[in-house]
Parts: sequence; C-alpha cells; structure tokens
Amino acid sequence: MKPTIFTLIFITILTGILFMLPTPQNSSSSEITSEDEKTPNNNNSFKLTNVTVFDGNTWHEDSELLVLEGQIVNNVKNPDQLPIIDGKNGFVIPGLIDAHTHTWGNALQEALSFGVTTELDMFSELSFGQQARLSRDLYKRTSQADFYSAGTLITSTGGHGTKYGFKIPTIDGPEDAEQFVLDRIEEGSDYIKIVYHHKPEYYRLTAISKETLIAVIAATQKHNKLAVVHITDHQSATEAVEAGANGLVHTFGDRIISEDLLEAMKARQVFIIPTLSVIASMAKSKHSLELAADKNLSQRLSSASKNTLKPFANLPKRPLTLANAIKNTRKMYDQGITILAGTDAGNPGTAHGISMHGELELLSQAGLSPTEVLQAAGKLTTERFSLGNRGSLGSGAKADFLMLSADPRIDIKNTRKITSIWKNGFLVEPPKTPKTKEVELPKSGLFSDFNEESLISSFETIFQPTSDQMMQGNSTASVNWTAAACDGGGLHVKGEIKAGFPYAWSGVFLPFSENMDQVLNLKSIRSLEFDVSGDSGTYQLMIFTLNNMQPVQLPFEINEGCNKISFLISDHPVVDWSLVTGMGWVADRNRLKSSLASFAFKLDNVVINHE
Amino acid sequence: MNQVNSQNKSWQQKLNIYVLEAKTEFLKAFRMPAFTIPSLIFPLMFYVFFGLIFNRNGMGGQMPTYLLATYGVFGIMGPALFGFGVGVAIEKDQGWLALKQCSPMPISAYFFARIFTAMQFALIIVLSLFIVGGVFGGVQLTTGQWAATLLVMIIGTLPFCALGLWMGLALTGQSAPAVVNLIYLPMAFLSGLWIPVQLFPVVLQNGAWALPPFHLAQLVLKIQDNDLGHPWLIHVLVLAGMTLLFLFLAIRAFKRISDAK
Repeated sequence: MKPTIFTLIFITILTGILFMLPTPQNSSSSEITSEDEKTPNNNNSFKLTNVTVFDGNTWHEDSELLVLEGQIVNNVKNPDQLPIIDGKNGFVIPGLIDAHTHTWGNALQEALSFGVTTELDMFSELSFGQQARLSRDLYKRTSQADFYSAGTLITSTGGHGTKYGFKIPTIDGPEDAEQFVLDRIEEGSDYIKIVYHHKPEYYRLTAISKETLIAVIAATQKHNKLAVVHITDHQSATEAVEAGANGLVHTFGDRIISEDLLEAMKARQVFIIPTLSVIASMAKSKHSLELAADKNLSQRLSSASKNTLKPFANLPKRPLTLANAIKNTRKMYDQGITILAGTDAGNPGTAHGISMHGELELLSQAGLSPTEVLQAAGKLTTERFSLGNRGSLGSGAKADFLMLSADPRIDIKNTRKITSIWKNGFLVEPPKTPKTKEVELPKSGLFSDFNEESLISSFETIFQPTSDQMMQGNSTASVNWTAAACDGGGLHVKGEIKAGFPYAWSGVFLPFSENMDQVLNLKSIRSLEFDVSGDSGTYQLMIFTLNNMQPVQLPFEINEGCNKISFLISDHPVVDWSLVTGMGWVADRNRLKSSLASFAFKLDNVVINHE
Repeated sequence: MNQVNSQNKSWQQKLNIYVLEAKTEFLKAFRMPAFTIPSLIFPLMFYVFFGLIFNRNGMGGQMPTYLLATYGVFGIMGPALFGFGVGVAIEKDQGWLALKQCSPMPISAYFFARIFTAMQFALIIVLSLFIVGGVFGGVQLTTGQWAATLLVMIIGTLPFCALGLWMGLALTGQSAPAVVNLIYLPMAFLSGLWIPVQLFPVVLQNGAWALPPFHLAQLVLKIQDNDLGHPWLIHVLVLAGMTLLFLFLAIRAFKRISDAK
C-alpha cells in the first residue's frame, strides 16, 4: 500500500508543479475586439475588419485584412473559423522600415514600440547583429524589430567609425578591397557600407582614397551585394556616385545640389537615405525636442530614449544646413530619384522608433506626398535592399503593420496616432511597466502649509524652481519662502517667460520622490486644493505621471486677492491619477507677450481632500 | 545460475528486487556529494548566468526559453553519463559488478536501477530549471509544452545511459572520469547547448549532426518551436539508432569482460 500512496502523492505534486508553471494567456473565445485593452492575443491568424488599408501601392477604403499564421493572405479555406477583430474605422499601414540606424542594447525593442518593424543597421558591433539577425524570417511572437545590418563599415585607419570604443578592421588601399569585402560578407553583412570623404583628412579624421572606394564598390557588386556610401558633403557625394555607389546613406547641406550630380544620380539610379533627422540634430534644430514633447509619442518613449533625443552638444546652430538638406532632398525627389526613410538613430538627437515619425514629417517637408513618404519607409526600401516580403501588405507579406486612429493621407503626423502595432501577426503589447513604489499620502492630506520657514514638503522633497531651460528654452524661475502669503507663510514664485522652447514654462515644481521614480496614488481622493494670489492671468497646474515626460496641464486663474483653487479628481480623467510623480504650478507661453513676461505669485496650503 | 533463481520467484518478489535495487542505487548516488552537487547545481547555475543574467533579451526575448531546453539537455546528460560511465567502470574494477552477476538478483535490475536513478536526477534538474525559468526568466509555455518538455528529457536520458554504459564497460575505473569529462563537455558545447547552434560556423553546424545531444535538443526545441525546422522523426530515428549502436558496443564490451573471467 505504502509505495502506491507515495507514487500517488508524487504524481500529484508533479502535476501540480506542471500546472503552476507560467503559461501564455489563452484565448478561448473566437471573437476578439480591440476595445478590450487586454485582448488575449495568442494567435497570429485572424480577420481584421472595418479598416482602410494601405498595401504599399494603393489605399483600400472600408476593407479588411486576412492574416494567417503571421502572413497576409487573400483568402483562406474556412474564413468563418478565424477570430474577427474590429478595426473600428482605423487606418492600416505597413510596418515602418528605418533604413539607417546604429543598433545596440534595447534598440530593436524601442523601435518596435513605435511601429518600426524592421531596421537596416549601418554599422554596429558584430556580435549584436549575429544574434539579432536570427529571428528576422520567423513568424513568432517577438518584442523586437527585424534586423538587417552592414556589420562593420569600411573605413580607413583613423577614419569615421574607428572611434566608437571598439576595434574594427580598416582598409589600406584598393588592392585589399576584394578580400576585405569577402571578409565582411563572411561575417554576415547584408550589404556593404563605405565611409568616404573627398579629402584624405577632415575634422581630425582620415578617409579612404577614391581608388579604394572604386575598388570596394566593384568588389561588393561583384559579389551581388549593395554598396552604400556615407558622405557628408556635395563633393564627396559626387565622387561616390561616380565611383558607382548603389546608394548614399546621407544627404548633405553644405551647398545646393548641382544639376550634374542630379543627372548622374538619376542616370545611375542611385537612391538616397537623406537622414534628415540626424542632420536636424547636427544643425541644432528643435525637431527632436518637439518630437519628444508630442503627446501621441511621449507615452511610448522610454526615459533612456528621451535622453538620446537631446541634439548634438557643442555644435553651432546651423539652420542653413538643415534647410539646404531639405532643399536638396526636394530636388532629388523632383528628379525622380528614389528617396528612402532613415533616421541614423543611435546618434544624439535621434532615438530608435520615435525618430522615424520625425523623419516622415521631414520628408513630407521635402515635398513627398504622405503616400510617397510611407512608400519611402516601406515598399521602396524593400525593393532596393531586397528585404523580401516586408514593407507592403499584399498577399504573402509579413503581417507587420500599424493601425492608426487618423488618416495619414491628410497629415503625415497621423502616423503618430498609433492604436496598435502588429508584428508577425501578433499584437505588440506595450512594454510592461515595472512595479513602482508608492509614496504614502500624508495623513493630514497636507503637502505643506508653509507655516515654517522651509521649502520642504511632507514627502520630504523640496519645492523647487522649474523652467523650460531643461529643454534648452530661455525662461527663468525662482522660488522663495515668504511670511506674507494667503495665511501666513507661503511660497513666493517669480519668473520670466522667454521665447525659446515651443512650450515655454516657468514656476514651481514638487517631486514626490527624489528621482520621481515613486508614485503617489491620488485615484481615491476627491480633490486637490491650494491657495494662490499674485499677478492675474491663466496659469497651469502640471501633473507628471510615471514614464511620461509630457505633463498634463490643468489651467487655473490667479487674481490679485487670495483664491482657493480646487480640482476635482473626477473632472480630469485624462490624468492617470494613480501614477502621479510630481506637480508643478507654472506660467506658460500665453505670457510670452513682453508686457506679461514677468510674473509673480504666492502659493499656500497645498492639500488633498478625501471628502 | 541467476536465470534459474529468478524463474523460481513470484513476480512480486521480482518486483521487490527491482524496487529495492533502484532505491538503494538512488540513495547511494544521492549520498555522493561529488556526484550530486555538480549534477544538480551546474546546469542551474549556467542557466541563470547565460540565460537569465547575460542574455535575457537575446533572440527576440526567446533566449531564456531556448536555453531552458538546451541547459535541460545538458543537465540530464550528466547523471546518465557519469552514473553509468564512471559508476560502472569503478564497480567493474572493484569486482562489485561480478558479485552482482553472481547474486540471485537478475542483472537487469542492476542496469534498471541505474537508468531509474539517472531519470530521477533528470526529473529534479528539469523541474528546478522549469521553476527558475518560469519564475525569474519569464518563460511561458502551455501546460502541454511544459509536460512534453519534461517527458522528452526524461526519455532522452536513455541514449546517454547507453553511451555511458558502453564507456563504463570499456574503460577502467581510473581512466573513466577523465574520459567521460572529455566527451561530456565538448559534446555539450558542439551540440549547441551553450550557444545556439545557428551561431556556429557551417562546418561545426554540420558536425553537430553526429552528436546525440544535438538531436535531443532539437526535439525539445521543437516543442517550443525554436528548432532548426527538421522533421522530428529524423531526430528520433538518429537517437534510436545511436542508442542501439551504443548498446551493441556495450554488449560487446560486456562479453569481452565475461569471457576474460
């Protein structure tokens, strides 16, 4: 008897363990609607109905999309058995292809979270690419974009690309070209990227000779690979085109493009990846900061990427360079030269994924229609780089696509209004936010009554000045304790709003934890109140929530006398009240007029009410 | 002699012998820290280092799942190869095997007990990998996939038991530990158990086909759809063929010993 009992217990425990192991969420129901945020998505076969589809060539109004095991199909044997997803009049476009990136770390995950489903890397460490390439032809659930790479770029000893902290082989002369290219192909390079400059030395960098360039391009094309060339000015571009390059991976802004170069590019069918995003950053344009502040994008932006969106430091403002680069792109476009969308993400002023939406906007400024912009970020890149069944949504294509809530044909910026992203036919879940610590609510509900001479709040954090200087704007702010506020002690906030950052602000800010990594849950309280007096006008209460750089702004009025301002939590559902990390009381750009620019107000008795 | 004896016993008595032998064999193995600790700890430790700490986001986030399969195979190989290879070699040298042959116990009970022990170790190793992978590695599989993975790994100990048996009978007790180690670690590496086989140069990728762990790993990876895409039957047939080959070699070695005595 005994052994039997032991065996039974053993089997029970074993089965128990097996059943307790984590399993993917199962969907048993056959109808899935996208309105349920927690759509169980365990299946990459479905029918997406009620959508307008751009298949890479044409738009299909009120259409539907059939997806079978991660691929688009025209019809299936038994369509009734497929789960149906209601697209709710959304707009479906193919997953974006960023044709110029430098990739490491979490870049491919970041890219996918903005709808970039394929990245063409133009130089990164070999080991990254060898692994990242493996999954690109699979149809599995994945959290990252597909990956193609030039591997190690081809440059001279001491040339561009040798100074990024890891050693790479360099080429000495044309006689080494054949072997050098073969080595790159052996390493797995999908295409060959060459760095060229017409001067042998520039900006403390060296460059390969023109003869070497010609030899490398010839060797590359002999082995049926694409030779693309990094150039930064007109003369280098001209020589690269003469040398037989298949494509240029940057445009240039040092001068307006000559008719000769235009003709040569057209005749030789050279394509160009203008990478206006990185040129904007080198020109110190505010393009990337506006991108980071775009409400449709900021919610998907990780704090790491947010940091990389800051433009190149220590460079002079060169607005002409960007303007020229855009003009040159426009001229090439007018000539019918193929233009591909690429960001050069990995550089300052760019970030993987998000910058692609900025590049699309810049390309439309260069004259491409929204539909053409989408082709530059999809179909055309696929054609030029032979990327197989991606970049379009015809039958047989990879089911990589974005669903948008607004029509990108009306405004290319509507690509930022992403409802959902699909990769290999699987819904891409937004990255899980790690569990965050909650800050305890003060028992009295009081943040501070300022009756003691101190700027410290009941969270033991400090009321501090804040202004758009952190976004390289010019507004100023100061915060002091005063004995004469609404009822005794209070805060005296002074500042000046100056033009600079497009969303100028200045005022006082209170974080609830030192690094704003802990949250205050205000969901269950009724209202937030404070007393203000000061220069009359409209001010903003800024509510910062976790992982959101862009605060929600709730306007309030200040008049000269003391006023109690009260915000009912339930009146403002746009705020995620459960994840508040900090608050600010600020003047904003509606004080930009010089007569209003200087302001001062007093803040007192910041308190939350449960009843 | 033992044939006569065993035929005279009732099936319950016979079962009792098998159970007792299996139980004592397991206890003996379990009480040898030099055997138990490396067998149980190494696969888990490697998995935590290479699957959970260093490489978590590899292969589109599939790395912890992939390595769960390959380190599982690595883990189950150990007790099978060492239990048979080293254990049998030593007991053979000490005359223990001869004594068992003379005893009234059917000699198959001796081998059965060792297979059973290897499988029990496999069970412990695989389950602990499951728990670590599931709890800390974010590995998600359906219950069917979890169960199939476990089952394939447990049955998958058999080819390695056969290989170990051959080595144990063919080698002396002194040389066995060195030789088994010399085969175990390179074989695991070259079969893609530590680094996915896709990352190897083509020559090594082709070479992996000659190694049993490669086929078992492909079978387990097939369950989670991370394999190279060859039909499962090929891997099963190759493994079965290899098992038979090892058994044949083992029987030859066994005969040589018996004849020598």
